[in-house]
Amino acid sequence: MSSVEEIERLLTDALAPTELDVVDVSASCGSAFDVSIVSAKFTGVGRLQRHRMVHEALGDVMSRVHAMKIDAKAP
Amino acid sequence: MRTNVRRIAHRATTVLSAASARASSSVPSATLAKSRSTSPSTSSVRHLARVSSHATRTRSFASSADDTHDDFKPKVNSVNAGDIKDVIEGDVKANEVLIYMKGSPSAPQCGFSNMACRILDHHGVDYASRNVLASDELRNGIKEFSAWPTIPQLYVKGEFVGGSDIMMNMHQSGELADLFKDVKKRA
Repeated sequence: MSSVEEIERLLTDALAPTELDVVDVSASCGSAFDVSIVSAKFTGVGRLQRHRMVHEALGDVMSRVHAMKIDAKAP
Repeated sequence: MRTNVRRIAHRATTVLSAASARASSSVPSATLAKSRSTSPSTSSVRHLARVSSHATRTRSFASSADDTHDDFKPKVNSVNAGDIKDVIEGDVKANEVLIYMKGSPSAPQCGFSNMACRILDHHGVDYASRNVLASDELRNGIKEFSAWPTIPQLYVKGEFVGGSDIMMNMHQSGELADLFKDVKKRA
């Protein structure tokens, strides 16, 4: 089972965010998280690519969660 | 085997258009959605005929995807992994706006898929949809094809646009309206 801590750790390690907020919203339909992340690594990077970077950082977690809402911004 | 699929798909088209016309007026789509989900393993292979490039030529057949009874869906043998990639590739090229989702636009089976459809409806675009819940091959295939782990997935003019969050972002920023400017709208 994925946890907020695990997701926070993975994203912090990979993307060195200046702001990070991970909310467990699993009440809806299975394991689900809302992720809000601001990182300098997103500067000049398009939305699609930012999401892909988050997916990559989370690696295996993506296959374990049912849903992930991502809000990824550059500072 | 492909010839049989074509024949069956073609025959099913005429039956389906009649059936969906009857079905939409007399049977609530929620009931149909429920009966469909009880046999995922058998309905999954039937769905593959729907997503075949031959079937998508007739839009009424493709878009009535999940509002029809199992009896009217074409029956095909299983397709191997290599084929699903071809099917998807053909599908995204043949449809200007195509959404891979859970359920169907009239009976979505997930909040994110629902949101994606409502956004598309708001923009009035003429779109096709594919139900990934009807086929494991499709569900896994589209995730591999797009290198994207979640559903829904929106394709516009053969290009992957994103999932429901991205659609919502683009909708709010006006980017989606821009993207859909010269896309065919529903009558």
